[in-house]
Amino acid sequence: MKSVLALLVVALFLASAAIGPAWWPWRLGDEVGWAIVLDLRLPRALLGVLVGAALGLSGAVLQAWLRNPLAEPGVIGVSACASFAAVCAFYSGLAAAFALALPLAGIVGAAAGIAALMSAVRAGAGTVSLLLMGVAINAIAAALISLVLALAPNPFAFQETWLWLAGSIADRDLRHVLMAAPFIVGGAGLVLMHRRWLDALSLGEDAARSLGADTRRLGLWLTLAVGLMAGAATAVAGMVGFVGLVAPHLVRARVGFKPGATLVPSMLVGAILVLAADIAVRVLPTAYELQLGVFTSLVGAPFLVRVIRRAQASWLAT
Amino acid sequence: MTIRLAATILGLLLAAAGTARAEPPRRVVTVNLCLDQLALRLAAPGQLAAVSYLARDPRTSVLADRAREIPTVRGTVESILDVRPDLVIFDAMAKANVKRLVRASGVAILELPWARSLEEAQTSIARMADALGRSELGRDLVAEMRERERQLVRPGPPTATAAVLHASLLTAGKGSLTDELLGLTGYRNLATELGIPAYGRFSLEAVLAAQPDLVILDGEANADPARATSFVDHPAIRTLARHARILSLPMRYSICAGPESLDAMQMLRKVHP
Repeated sequence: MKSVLALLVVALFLASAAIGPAWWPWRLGDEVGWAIVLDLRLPRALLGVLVGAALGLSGAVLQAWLRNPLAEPGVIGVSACASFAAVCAFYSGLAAAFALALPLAGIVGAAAGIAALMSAVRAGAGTVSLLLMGVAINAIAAALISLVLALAPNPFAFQETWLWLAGSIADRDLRHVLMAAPFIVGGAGLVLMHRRWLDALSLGEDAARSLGADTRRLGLWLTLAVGLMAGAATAVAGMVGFVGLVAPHLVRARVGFKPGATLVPSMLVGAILVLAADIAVRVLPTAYELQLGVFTSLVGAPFLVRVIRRAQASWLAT
Repeated sequence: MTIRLAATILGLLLAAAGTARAEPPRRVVTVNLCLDQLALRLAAPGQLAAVSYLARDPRTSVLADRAREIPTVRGTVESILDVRPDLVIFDAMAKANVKRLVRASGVAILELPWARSLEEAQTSIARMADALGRSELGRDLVAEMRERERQLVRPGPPTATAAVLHASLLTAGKGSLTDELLGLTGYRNLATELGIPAYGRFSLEAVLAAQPDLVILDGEANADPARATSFVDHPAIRTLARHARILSLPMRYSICAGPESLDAMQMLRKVHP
């Protein structure tokens, strides 16, 4: 299955580099035509792979770790915390002073969001308490973002931040790719190094400890890893919701419900979903391009409704 | 539609009430950047009691210096009533609630529609001048605008294409002031050709693919870094800049329809190939 998914990622990556309002820019035959491919579409396709992989893998890790099928960076407020930190870095001038401040702030924000969540919700806690905590974290982050915007010196603050929060990988350049790639790759590496223990952790912390896992250290590593991936992805692409929720669900049944085995397929499916959604917003006949995050929410939110209805009351009641 | 019509009729009635008064108002407040700038040009010395805070911002206002000598208000009832106005001039699209409360406290209000063309701006100028008891100055200002427009118009069909890139890649499509100014100075507006509505958005790819002759952006805005304007440093825009002319049109010239629109027209005319 992995090789099929990997092939799909490659195919969509190439499609992403070939599709756009200009269609075949190389027919222009000059610098401008090549700039469309190299400066606009290539960064976009690369970010599609990186951001999608980061979100898909983050979702798979969080769902296994929290033993909760609704855990996802967007739903539980991790993306919102990353956004808040990135907005702070932006309007304080830090991001202008040195470029890495933006992804670093996103990472700190995302990790802080996970830490806040874990302080209130132990692994395996009921879905309701997890989601309520997510609602609270999301609300706090949204309020803090509004506060920072009200203090921001720049006249476009509300408009630009609204557009950015709606999520997009359009019109980025290679600087954004270089900014996010090391952190996302590093985070993914960390998770894959600990994949073995994730199976143990999904049995509950006590069971994991009895199998020889150092759950405290493992928790710290996973917090850092998800922080790196979700934080860096949010810093360059804004909030792209529901990818982390949908990707693990699509692969879980096919890998025999083993959390460790969902990781790589979830990562690939995440990349596929973001690349496909990003191509869709380009070809949809709207007067101007829909924001990527708006599109993934339009498609992903009904999926969440379906998951909840399918699951029935069994785990929702706890 | 009926609401807008009703608002217009109401505005006209109020304007009529304003002119019927023997005494011109002595403490006038405007709470809209575009109306601020018209009032700063039309009001007698001391007649303008306050303008909106945006009128002082040199990025958004061409009369920021003059506005600095006058107190500012925010669009809230309390901050407006605090300066004890006898006439408050609102944009017709301003919050109905604020207008209702100001009127309820016994202060006359005048509503002017948001001007989206030179002609609408001239109508607004005439109506505001009448309300301020400065009809003659208003007529002079309108006559001056018409004369400058006559000198700056480029006759004949358009011979070049222009792409307007505002903050956040927003652009000015059909029905916008900038679209009118481009037409008058001999440009086809790329946004209009692509069917983008008056305040829609561009993608950089669409701009590059069309290879416009002129790219209009606000080169000053990114001095205070913003996500909205960071696209001016995008490598793709730098490449395009080697093939197209770039006109830096500060946004203070393109936000409002008014005498400053003719300065924008002059800049457009100067770079026409």
